[in-house]
This record gives sequence, structure tokens and C-alpha cells, in this order.
Amino acid sequence: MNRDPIRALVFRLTAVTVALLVALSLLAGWSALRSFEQALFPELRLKAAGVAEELARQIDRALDYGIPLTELPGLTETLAREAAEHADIVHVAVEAPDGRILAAHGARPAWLAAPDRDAASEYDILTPLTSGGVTQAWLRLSLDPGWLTRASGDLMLEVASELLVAVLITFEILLLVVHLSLTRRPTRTGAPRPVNLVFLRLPVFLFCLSEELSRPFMPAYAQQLAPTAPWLPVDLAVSLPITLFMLVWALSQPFGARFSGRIGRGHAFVAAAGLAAIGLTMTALTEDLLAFLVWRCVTALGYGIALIAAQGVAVDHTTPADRASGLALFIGALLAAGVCGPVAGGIVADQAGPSATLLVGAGLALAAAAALVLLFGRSLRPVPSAAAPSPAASAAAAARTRIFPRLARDPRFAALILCSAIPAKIAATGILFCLIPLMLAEQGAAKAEIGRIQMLYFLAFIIVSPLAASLADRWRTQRGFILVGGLATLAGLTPMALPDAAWGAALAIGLFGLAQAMIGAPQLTLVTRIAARIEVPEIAAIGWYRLLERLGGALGPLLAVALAAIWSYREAALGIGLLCGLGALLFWLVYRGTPSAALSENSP
Amino acid sequence: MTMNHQTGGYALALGAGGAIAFIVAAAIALALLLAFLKFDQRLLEISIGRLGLVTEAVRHQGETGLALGLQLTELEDLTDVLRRAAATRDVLRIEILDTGGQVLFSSASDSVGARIETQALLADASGRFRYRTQGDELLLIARLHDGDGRFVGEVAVRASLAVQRKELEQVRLDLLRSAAPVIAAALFATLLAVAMTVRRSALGDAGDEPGDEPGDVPGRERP
Repeated sequence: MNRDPIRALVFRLTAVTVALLVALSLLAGWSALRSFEQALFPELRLKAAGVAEELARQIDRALDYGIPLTELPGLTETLAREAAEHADIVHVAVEAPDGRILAAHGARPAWLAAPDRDAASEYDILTPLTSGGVTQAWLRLSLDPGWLTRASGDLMLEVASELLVAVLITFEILLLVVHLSLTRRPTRTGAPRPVNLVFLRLPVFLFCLSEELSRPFMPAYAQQLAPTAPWLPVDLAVSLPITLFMLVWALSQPFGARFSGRIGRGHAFVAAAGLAAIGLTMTALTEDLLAFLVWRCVTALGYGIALIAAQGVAVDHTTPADRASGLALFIGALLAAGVCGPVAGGIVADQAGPSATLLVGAGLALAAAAALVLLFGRSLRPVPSAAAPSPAASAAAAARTRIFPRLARDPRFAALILCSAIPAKIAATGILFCLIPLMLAEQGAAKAEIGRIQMLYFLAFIIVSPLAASLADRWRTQRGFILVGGLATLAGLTPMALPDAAWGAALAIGLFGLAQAMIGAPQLTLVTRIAARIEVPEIAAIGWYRLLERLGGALGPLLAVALAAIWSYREAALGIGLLCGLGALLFWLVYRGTPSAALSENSP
Repeated sequence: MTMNHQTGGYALALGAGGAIAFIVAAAIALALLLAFLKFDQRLLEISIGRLGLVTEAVRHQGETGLALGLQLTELEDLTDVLRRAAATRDVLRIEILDTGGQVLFSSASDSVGARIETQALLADASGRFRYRTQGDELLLIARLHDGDGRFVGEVAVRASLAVQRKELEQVRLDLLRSAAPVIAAALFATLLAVAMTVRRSALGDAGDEPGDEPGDVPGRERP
């Protein structure tokens, strides 16, 4: 039986930790919410009493002019307007002394006692409407009992998302602790131990977290700085930081691969993490848009080099047989940071502000460098042979050997890149990183709420991606998955049109992540098949595929804000969804029309 | 089970148990702290909503006068309005400021002519007011516009948040009292659970085939 004791132990420990964490947090959370509700309710009643007093003053003024309540024009509209301004008030009514309702807005919850001014429930505020010192009628305001429940629900969501972050961090630390404990045991032969790639996870996780923290507020932050560069259109000012970041990241890959190969992966990672930390610190301190853009580019350069160096570590210390599992470790850390970063960043930004969050990010980048040095020591010396070049390094080599024209001439490769890979990246950067934060910030959402919604994308991705990859391989229908993923992107984004912005966006982003998770692995499989068919090195084809899709990612924010300027944030997101859906259909038609492609789909 | 296995098992149990117990306790404490901060924010929002009613009423009165073509400095009868409005619970004083923050009219005459710093204020959830809290005092500001929509001054409401702060302090103490045993239980239960899990795994490992050293194989763990 093929049994991995470390995996089993980590799994058991994670299960035990999650069970304890959830049970004890629920206990602590329930007790806290009870105290909160008890403290909020009196303040809520006071506020409602203030609303009632103000309304009564307006109505009393009319009564003083001798206008009977039954003939007072616009009374219902006034009640409706007041109720609309206060989400915690569910029902407002003017009642005659005999209990008849003269005007009302909103339905009073059935379980509250029947209207009776002598026995008002604790959720009712009754105020007399007087004229000449005589009570003419009563104004009844009913508090919404569900408001406190919803407020508590919001709190619970926040706590739950923070617990999810805690679970992922626990998992990362557990992996590290278990592997560290086992590594300290001497080997039976006394030979030096090979590099344990599990140790790569924590530095990569911390480093990616340093950048992911800023996801919930980066576009809105750039929007705030836009007045410092009045010559730049605001829409461009909002999208440029993300576009430039993606562009520099993509273009730094070939250089980063060569650089890290020459000076050593460890040294390159440490230097790049330092560069990213400087970039993040200066981004936090600047108040000028132009300087902000420059420092975002510096951060992107550090980010790109550090990630390609880390990827190089995984490639250098694996053989073709176990490379997939080595790279899976790297990708796992990236995705875990994608889930934790926006949530943690949103919470920190709400409490301490965006600048402080960027400084926390700088600290995390330095912590990542320190973790790499502590965990690997001198074991990441330069590997002159470079057992297998990284995809980006191979892309650079490919350019020299004219591989790219051969790839570009292949209609299947062109269809895959232009109709699926680039639209998918445009959607990811344009919607997730740009439109969602802007739209939700405009509607008054807190940064923590924006972060929670962004997290759903990565969460759906982590859950669905392995399943989709395995099913696409088993059913040999990568092309089908790409088609369904593209159409699902369009369908998944339609909840953006829902009137409740927060829930609509949350649902749309969750479904969007699910749809995108169906595309990634099948795209990669098709790239390797195309490479085999036109006889170019597989790794070079993957390098070009990655480079081109990231360049597409740089286009995303520009396209998104351009569409938002013409239409609205929601319509822009739906427009990009339409691009993905139509692109997927076009891909399906072009790829199906190629005989050799069809042969490949059906061949074992 | 060899001595090495035993020592390694204990070290692992202690290391993993300590790390996990710390994370679990820290996560619970952090979750409660964040929930408390959010509650603090929500309580302040409700208080701002309540005091905002007074601010809006004064602003409305002021803008009615301005719409008739009067200058802000000519709205002498606003002082009576301010005095009446300042009788609202928790309100300390209400002032009318010019565009530079100088007090033109006030419910407390001693502050007329003083200057109020209205920079670096936060926007409230509704976007209608700006506010700042300093100790137990809340400063709530709403902008005044004349009939042509020009910004001519501001309404500033100063209110005491002492009652809310007291309530908050009580909630904080309740929370500490109820959280402390939960966190202690979390530490103890996690240490115990991890020790038992590692021990069971160590016993299981003892029955494995010789040479099965999982730590030697890099990259076995998949995310």
C-alpha cells in the first residue's frame, strides 16, 4: 500500500486543529455576539427615538396649521423617505387614537404584538402627534429585529474568514514543524540530506502574502492619489498601477530566470524580496501618483524575480518524475497566500489604513527572505548545470532559436492564447483586482468586506482546480473544459447585476473563481500537446504561454476601466465576461476545425 | 519503537503541539479582538446616525435661511435653534463655522470666534458627515451650502460618548472574562490533542518497513 506517513500526520493534525479552532471559536463568538447585541440595542432605540421625534416635529407643524392628518398631502411619502434612510427601521405608521392606521410604510413583523399604543413591544417607539397640547394621533416606529441579526451575521462572516486564514496559516506552519522535526533525525547512511522542498512553501507564502495584502484597496488608493497628476485621466490613473505591475512582472521573468541562475536562487530570492520590501515601503510613504507608479514597478520587479527564483529552486531540486509535485508545492503556497492576503489586508487596512498595510507587506517580504535563509542555509548555491531550465528561462532561449514564430504560426496555439488564455487573464486582473474593489468601495463597503469577496475567487480555485484537472485528464476533454469554463465565466458573472451589490459580487466572484479553475490545467495540457505535435521543447512552449497570458493580464485593468468609463462597473464586468464566453466559443470552433487536434483529443 | 523514534516523537509532539496551540489560541484571541473592534465601529456608526439627526436638522434650518438670500453671518436667529438642538441627549454644543473653521454662532456663547480644526476628519458610512473622536468626545461636521449650491460653512456638533464608552468598557470586560477560559482551554486541549495524534502516528510508524524515512523525500506533500 502506498502510504505517506508525513502526509497522513499533517492531515490528522490539521483535522484536529480545525475541529478545535471551529468549536472553540464558535463558543467564544456566540458569547461575544450576545454581549454585543445587548449593548447595541439601547443605542439603536435611542436613535429610532430621535427619528421619531424629528418626524413628529414635522407632522406637528402641519397639525398646528390646522390641516387634518387625513388630508395632509405626502404623509406616506414622508414616512417612506425617513424609513429608507434608516436600515434599522422596518415600519413607520401614523395611527388614529382608535387604532386605525392613517398612513404607513413597511410591514410590521408579524411576531411583534398587534398595534396597541398601551403595550408597545421593545421594538416599537410610540410618539404622540399633538396640536394645541392635545394628542391627535400616534406615530409608531418599529425597529427591524432582523437588523441586529444581520449585523451579527456580518460579524460572524468576518470572524469565519479570519478563522479560514488561521487554518491556512496553521497548515503552513504544521507542514514546516513536522518536516523540521523529521529533518533533524540523522539519515541511516550519514549522507547529507537532499533539499526538502516543503521548506520553500513558507518563504513563498509569506512573500506572496506581502503583495496580496494590498488587493482590496490598491485601485481606490491610486484613485485618491489621482489629483496629484491632473494631466493623467483618472481612469488611467486607477488602472495603471495594476497594469504596470503585471507588465513588469511578465517582462522580468526571462531576466529573473537568468539572474537567479547566475547568482544562485537563494541570493536572488533574498535580493528580490529586499527590492520588493523597498518598493512597498516607498509606495506606502509616497503621496504623488507618479512616484507611486515608479515604486509599484520596483515592487513588481522584486516580485517577479523572487517568484521565478523560487520556481527555479523547485525545478533545480526535482527530476522530471517528481517535478509536478515540486511545482505543486510552490503553487499551493501562492494560492494559500491568495486566500489569506485580501482578507488579512482588508482587516489591517480598515483598522490601520492602507499605508500601514503596505508597510506590513514590506515586513512580510523581509520575513520571507529571512525564512528562506534560515530554512535552506547554504543549500541553495548556484547550480551551474541548471538541471532543467525554468519555463521563463526557456522562453528566453526559445526567442533566440526562433521557436516563437513556429508557435505563433500554429493556429491551435494562437486560438488557445488569443481566445482563452488572454481573455481569462484579462478577466482575472480586470474584474478581480480592479473593478470589484472600485465598485464595492464606491458603495461604501469596508476593505475587509472587499478582501473577503476577493478571497472567494481563490477559495473556489483551490477547491475546484485539482478536481477539474483530474476530470479533464480522465475524460480527455480539455477543449470541452476550456469551452465550459469560458461560458461559465460569463454565466458566473451575471449575479453582478443583482441589486444587492455585496451578495451579488460575492456570488459572482465565487462562481468566477470556479469557472476559471476549470480552465488553467486543461490549457497547460493543450500547450504541451501542441508543443509535442509541432516539435518544439515543451518547457519553451509553456514559457511563451505564461509570458503571453501575463501580458494579457496587463491589459485587463486598462480594458476594465475603459469599459467602466463608458458603461458602469457592473456592465464592464459583464462585458469582460462576454469576451471570455465568446472567446471560448471561438476557441472551440477553431480548435475543432483542426483535424490533428481532433485526432489528439481522441487518441490515447 | 527505537529510542530515536521515541525522542523524535516527543520532540515532534512538543514542537507541533506548542506551535499549533499558540496559533489556535492566537486565532481565537484575534477573532474576538476583531469582533470587538467591529462592534466598537458599529456602535459609533449608530451614535453618529443618532447625532446626525440633530446635525441634519440644524443644517436644514441654516440652509433654509441661506436659500432666502441671507449671508451665513446674517443668520442671527440660528443661535436659538442651536440652543434648542443642543438639549438633545449627549450633545455638548453645536456650532456654525465659516469655510475657514471659525465659529460664527454657538449654543455656548463662549466659543464664538474660536477656530475648529476640520481637517483630517473621517467620512461616515452614509457619506453625509465627517467626524473625529478624541477621548470621549465626538466632533460631527456637515457642510452648509447656499441657494446656489456654494459651500459657505459647516455645522459642527460636539457630543459626549461617555455613556457609549462605559458600555464598551463593560463589554470588553465581559469579553475578557468569557474569553480567558476559552483560550486557556484551547491551549490545553490543543496540546493534548496534538500529543495524542503524534503519539498514535509514532506508534503507527514503528510498524513501518525499515528504511521508510519520509523526511528524506522532498516535495511529497501536495497542497
